[in-house]
Amino acid sequence: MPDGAHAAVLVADDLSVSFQTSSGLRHVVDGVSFAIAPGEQVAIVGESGSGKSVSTLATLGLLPPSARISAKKVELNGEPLLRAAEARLAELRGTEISMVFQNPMTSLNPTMTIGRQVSEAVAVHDPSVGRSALNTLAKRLLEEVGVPNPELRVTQFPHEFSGGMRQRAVIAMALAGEPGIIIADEPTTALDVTVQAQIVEVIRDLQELRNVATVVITHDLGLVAELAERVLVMYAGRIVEETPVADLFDRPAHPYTRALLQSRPSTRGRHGRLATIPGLPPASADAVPGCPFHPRCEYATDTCKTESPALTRFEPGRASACHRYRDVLNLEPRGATERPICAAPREPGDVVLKIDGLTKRFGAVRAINGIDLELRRGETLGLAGESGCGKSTLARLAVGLLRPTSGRVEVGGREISSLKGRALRDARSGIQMVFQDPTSSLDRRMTIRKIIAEPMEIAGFKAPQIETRISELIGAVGLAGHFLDCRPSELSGGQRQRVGIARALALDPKVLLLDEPTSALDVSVQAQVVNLLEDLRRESDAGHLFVTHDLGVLRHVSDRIAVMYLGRLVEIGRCEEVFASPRHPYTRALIASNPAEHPKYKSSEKFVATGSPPDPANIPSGCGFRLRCPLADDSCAADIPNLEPVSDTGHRVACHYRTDLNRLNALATRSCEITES
Amino acid sequence: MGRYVFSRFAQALVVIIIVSIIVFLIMYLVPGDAVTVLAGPDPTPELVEALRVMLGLDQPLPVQYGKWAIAAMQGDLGTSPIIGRPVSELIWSRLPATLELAVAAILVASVFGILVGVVAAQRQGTWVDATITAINSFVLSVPNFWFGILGILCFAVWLGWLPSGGRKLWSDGPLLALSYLIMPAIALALDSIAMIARLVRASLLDELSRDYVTVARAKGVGQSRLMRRHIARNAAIPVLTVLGLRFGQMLGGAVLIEAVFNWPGLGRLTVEAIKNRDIVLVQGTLMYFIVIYMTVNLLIDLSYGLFDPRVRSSVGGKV
Repeated sequence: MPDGAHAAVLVADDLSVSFQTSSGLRHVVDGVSFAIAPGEQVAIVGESGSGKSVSTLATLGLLPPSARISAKKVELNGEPLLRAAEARLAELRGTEISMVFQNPMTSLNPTMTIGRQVSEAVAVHDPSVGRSALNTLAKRLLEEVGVPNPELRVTQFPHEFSGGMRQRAVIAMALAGEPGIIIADEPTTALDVTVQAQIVEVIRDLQELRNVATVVITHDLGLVAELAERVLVMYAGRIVEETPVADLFDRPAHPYTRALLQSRPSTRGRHGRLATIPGLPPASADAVPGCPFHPRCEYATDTCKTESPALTRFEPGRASACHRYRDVLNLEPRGATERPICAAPREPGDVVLKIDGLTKRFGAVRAINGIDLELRRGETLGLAGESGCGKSTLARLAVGLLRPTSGRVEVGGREISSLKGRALRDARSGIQMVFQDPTSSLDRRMTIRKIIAEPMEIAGFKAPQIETRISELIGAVGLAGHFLDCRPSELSGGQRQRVGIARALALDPKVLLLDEPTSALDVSVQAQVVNLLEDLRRESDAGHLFVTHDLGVLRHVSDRIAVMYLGRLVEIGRCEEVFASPRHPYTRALIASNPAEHPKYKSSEKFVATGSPPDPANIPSGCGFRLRCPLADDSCAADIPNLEPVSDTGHRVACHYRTDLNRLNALATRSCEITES
Repeated sequence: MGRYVFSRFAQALVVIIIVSIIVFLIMYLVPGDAVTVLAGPDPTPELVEALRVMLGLDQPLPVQYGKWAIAAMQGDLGTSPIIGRPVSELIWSRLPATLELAVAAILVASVFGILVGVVAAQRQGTWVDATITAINSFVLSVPNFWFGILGILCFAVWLGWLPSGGRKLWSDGPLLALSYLIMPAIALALDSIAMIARLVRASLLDELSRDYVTVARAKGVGQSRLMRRHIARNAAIPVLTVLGLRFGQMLGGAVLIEAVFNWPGLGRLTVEAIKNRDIVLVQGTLMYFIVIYMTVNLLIDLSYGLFDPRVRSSVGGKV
């Protein structure tokens, strides 16, 4: 039993959950115990399938009927929940415990007003509260979570809210019944970076201002650093480590925690190769004898293969489920000394992709509004931006899937934007794309061999030639040859993405266009794919255009980065230079919005851009960012700033204040600390 | 919203015009016309010619269509040369019977369809659900008129509880009228019940698996409120669509059911017109059917806005 259980809001003791599936019983949670004290800030961290969401949903009785739940005890404020009647559970939900879910786009009822949904938790539990009192409550709650103009907003429907505003409404909803504990399941994962930062602030405010315990469930260690005092790390349905947040980052006591931390690319400096965790988590919690992590663990001994380690308390507030936790604690912390910064940019090669004055409109929507860009051989250009900024449209224009409204795209010196039919097909072989979702971008009826062969068949390669190339490619992306006869469903997400990369490389393209290639993957798998892409670039000499919203990955892979906002580039330059001294307020907002990498960097004074990007069908005059920019004045509304150089290394910025460092630094970005360290 | 209504209305009008041309032309492609029937066997060429002039068949097709269309817009669908009465009057005289049957059938179909669908969804995966699904498949695979005949056999011939066919007016006594209406209405509604039950079940299960339902449960919304306040409205749209389409079809007259039960509706009027090669009457009933069908469709489309606020606010701009 964890400490302080006597005063706990929510207690689970030896909780196990399994699901009846067509392939037998699948154990998802395996003997998990925790106790959440009043007002405590806890994070449960783990990768997908670790059982972190299921264990909390089980306590509330929100799992589907196919779930089998067993536990010695599950209690909310001392009241047993496990065998409680559904009606009693419904009474407790929303008043004593409530939840915030991941995707605000789907977690609101599209046919009910926001006001009613926010106040519903009160309405269902206390029918005596009148309509006007409910309405007042909804307005007050929306105001508390920072929804402007609540008077109007309560009467609106979810589709009239942006993603960030919806998530605020979902949080307001969770607060309505004044619960003692709120469980937030990946509350920022579906949101854009700058909006994520706003939601983090909302949650932090309620942690400070209301005496409510919060449990944040996440895969993102950054969010843990921002929002938790105490952390539970889950792997394969078990808690493998329990620790105060600072110790998690400085002295992890489980090899899995340590590996997770090391496989994370950092925005705070560029290191060598990312550490990876070999293999995959087990499909079912009981699939591996001994310690469930031992097949992937570099410190595993024979004992680990046979004896399952119990969660052992070794210091007040700290516990680890590892036979060798003492050795792990004494390992060198990861530091810059261990991994030298590899800064020196490569010799610039020929220009392989040239984009000139590119614009694209879809009716009234102005997706791309004049972009000039050059990508050189052997270079990785990282393209950052939030949803709706036009980065995917730009990628589609570059591969000739869309025709530009004006401007041109040249691949290897050949203009492709005006080509048609066969000529376009031939030219396209010079530029290939890797997509975000490896599951939907591979035809599930084709074998891997066929998927990789297809581009070569179209390009008219001969059969023996194709066969040789396929074995080269499958080796190059680090997959064993026997995968060639499998279908995508037999592969894991990371393996599928490797196939997507092999397919893109088949025709030896001059340009590889990577559209969020790691976003759908777990941290440890993401590191494998990032390393693979690094290796490939070194060997193949193709230029990489790497589109992502993840600044850590971006900083890790890029030689240069370009920042996009509302269909324009607002800043471009060498990666180190842009991160060390960002000159566009939007770039500063993006960097500052990235969750802290360590609790010691968590700051309440960082620059969080307000609002969300405007609708591309209704772009403001002048600078697109001015409505969210604290520096904006009349000149920003009057004319659109051009990309102007701020150094002789090609660092260019589209902001009137690009040289006004005093005012820029007053925005308080964390990037400034990086320059000094 | 106004612009949306207008554009949907314009679309419906274009469809009606195109279909009216097809209806008009198709009757000329079918061999044999009213002249063949009116002139009797072995007519003289003079008689045929005289009849053609009398019916306006000697004029160019566009002129014939123009005259016909203009008259039709004024409610004049011509006069049946066979029966010798105006088509609109014939349709008008049959309309009450068809309307009565259609309204009764659609009421039966919605009440029982929704009821059965809800039960199946709530008992998903149990024997109740399986039995309902099996019965639904059976009902959908057997034509309506077969159930009609079976009904007559059971309730009229063997048990003698209900009349075997015909129609009585409500002014003759509601119970009497109802006893004539009940069997054809149920027979006509049966496949709609099955179809709607299936749809309601799928639609409810679909909504039940959505995130907002978990969210609502997490804030303490109980099962019955969940169904009433959250799910019903969202699940209604597909059901509404099918109900509307079915009702549109029923208003055109249920040919087979009317024949089985000797119900004096529009379906039988159309069949008789085709049998007699009464082109004018066939054109008239077809046009009536198309206009009614398009109108019902239009009303359904417009009613989406009542259920889904996204339709209300998006229809201003795009169509």
